[in-house]
Amino acid sequence: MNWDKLIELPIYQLENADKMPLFNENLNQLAQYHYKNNDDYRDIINFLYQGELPKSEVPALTVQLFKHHLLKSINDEDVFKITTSSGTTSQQVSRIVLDKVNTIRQQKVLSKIVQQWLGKKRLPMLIIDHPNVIKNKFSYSARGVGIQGLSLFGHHHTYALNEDMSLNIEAVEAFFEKYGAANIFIFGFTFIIWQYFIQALKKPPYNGSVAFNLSNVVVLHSGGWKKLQNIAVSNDKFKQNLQKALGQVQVHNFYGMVEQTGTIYVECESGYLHCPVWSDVIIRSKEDLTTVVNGVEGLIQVNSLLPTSYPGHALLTEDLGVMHGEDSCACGRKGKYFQVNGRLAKAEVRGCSDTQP
Amino acid sequence: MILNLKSLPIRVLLPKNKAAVFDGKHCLTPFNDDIISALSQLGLFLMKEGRRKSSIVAAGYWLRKKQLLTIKSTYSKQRTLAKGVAFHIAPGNVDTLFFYSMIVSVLCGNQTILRISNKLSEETLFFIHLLNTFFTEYAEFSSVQSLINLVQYDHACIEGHETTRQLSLFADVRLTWGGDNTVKEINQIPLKATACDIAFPDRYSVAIIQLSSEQQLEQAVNNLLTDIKPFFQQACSSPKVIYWLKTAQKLQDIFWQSLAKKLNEQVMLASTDLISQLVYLQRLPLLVNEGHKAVVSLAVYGVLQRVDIESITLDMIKSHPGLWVLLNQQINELDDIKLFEHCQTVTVSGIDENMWLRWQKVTKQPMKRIVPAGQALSFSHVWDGVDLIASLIDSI
Repeated sequence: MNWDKLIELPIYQLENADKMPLFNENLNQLAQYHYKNNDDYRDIINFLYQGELPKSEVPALTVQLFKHHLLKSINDEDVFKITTSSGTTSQQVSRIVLDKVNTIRQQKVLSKIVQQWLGKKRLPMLIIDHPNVIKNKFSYSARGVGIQGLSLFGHHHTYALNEDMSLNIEAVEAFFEKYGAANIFIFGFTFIIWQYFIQALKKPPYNGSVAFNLSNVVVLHSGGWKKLQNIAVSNDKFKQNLQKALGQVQVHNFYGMVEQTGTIYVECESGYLHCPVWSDVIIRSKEDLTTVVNGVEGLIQVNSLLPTSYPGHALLTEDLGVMHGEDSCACGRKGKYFQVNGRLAKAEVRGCSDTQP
Repeated sequence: MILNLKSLPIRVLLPKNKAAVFDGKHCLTPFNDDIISALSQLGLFLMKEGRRKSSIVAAGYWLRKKQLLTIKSTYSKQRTLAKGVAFHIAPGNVDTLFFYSMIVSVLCGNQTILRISNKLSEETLFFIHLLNTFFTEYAEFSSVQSLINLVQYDHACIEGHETTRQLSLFADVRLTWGGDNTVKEINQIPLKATACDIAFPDRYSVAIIQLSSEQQLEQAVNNLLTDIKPFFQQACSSPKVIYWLKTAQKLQDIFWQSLAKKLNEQVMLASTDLISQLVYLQRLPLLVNEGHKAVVSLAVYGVLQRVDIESITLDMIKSHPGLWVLLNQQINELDDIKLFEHCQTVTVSGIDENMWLRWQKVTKQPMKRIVPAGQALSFSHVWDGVDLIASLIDSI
């Protein structure tokens, strides 16, 4: 793989006929690379596919595998850092091994993608979270990784929340006062923006009396929809409420995961998530994991050319989504576009070994 | 001490719409005539009314009068008394186990409070409906009915934990089904000083099969199917491992084809389970012991997964999700079998009875029982090596 060339590819401009031959060739090379350099990966593939890497398509590992095993395709001395997924205390977290090359590549790719939505210049940045999320540099949570990663695209970083998650209204007002006339970048996790910003402004002491009338603002937000689905908040409702609070701002949700940090799928003006040139999305049947046609909900598989330090180049997620098309989105961007519907129900333990409700 | 179930934040599923009051005095004499006739009558009722559900019919069959009297005769050499109040914590989804735990307790005359999962299958709801119908129709068994209280509550929250604590403090005996984590959790909740605690931790089970001719095939396939099909192969008595004793590969192949055909006709996996199965298969090659790369290979038969393996590790067993994955090992003699400490049931198929009985006597391998294939899930009042009746009565 020639990353000097790959990194220069236009992000949303290649059509299927131009992208896929190039992408598949590189993905196959990457699979071969892991097969050669990672004993665990080779054992898994040999076991599942009778002793060789299948030629028809690159097999996907389940994301859960990274919660159970530390999968490395590099030598111990080359490990630069290990990132972990978020997770409550009861859940196991994913552990992703990165060397320097991968860390830098993730940052470069992220930067290329984000610039498509924010422009090339760094912007004054309001983070809807509290500053201590990124305090511990050695054990970043997914929230910390997200904030840290996107902070690169802002300056004069201002945190909208206090450590107890209450709204720091003085900081927010001062920020808008100072930068409101220019372009602004706002970032936060979807649920946190909803719960601790939008809702907080509706409740006492603000009671909806504080509203801003901003225009040159891009809001990027990400994170699971589960908590919001539970309280029946859709993407549209979220957007409307946020615009009510801030004014006519651009709101873009994005999808991504710690197992493939760097690659994010940003929602366009038409409401679809877009696949950047370095990755591919496949929707698999809920019944038998075969690929399904556009328009049918299934499990999301994400293929990426980025990971060389760990075998995360083809991952079967537990997220459900629908592919809407390729090269034909009304927004004009090329490549696949899709939506994410949420997470698969949690595995039920049915044996004698469970008395949980 | 009096405990009014009505005062606790719980739902009483049986008896319906009646809240029981426990004062520790309303026990019956173990195996008294009322109990025997009520339970045997209930057995007939379940066999008739539960017709379509094999697990309910099996539960009815277990209550046949002859069997109840045989059990009674074993324990009536001495004068016996009920323990008092028995608090049962039933497993999440092995749907019919709650019933056996409850029945054995009632047979011994105990006032019985049984906590059942909040998520019940259609079949279990129907089962409970039948129990309620029975006691409504047969008012003469009200003394026996008054022993039974099937309850539900959200036990994971603080309030639920408090309920478990109160029920535990009131109980003379507590039975916890449901694996290492539950047992660990419940053990921390104190009992009265005089009470006994009976717990059933995680177990796993294995099958030994020997085939010498095609004539034996159908029987062997059906028996294994009976043992693995229920509860997604997740019951601790369902075999996870098959030891093939000197059986021709060709016969084994036909066996798998036939088993897969039947299983695939009868079951399917939802996406969450498909993923769990795939996660386990992808993990398997990484669960070998350090330095021992066991040769493993996989054969996929629709939902059924056959994994050939040279040596089975504890991690492979502990991570096993059920879902019709069978670990397969070839052996030349019974002594090749190495079981782990928490092995429960060994089923045997096609092996000369004298041979396995002899092996059972001399082997040092840990196991709680050996039964013929097809009976892995059959309940016995001696379970996991614990004599439940003896634990639920006081002998004087």
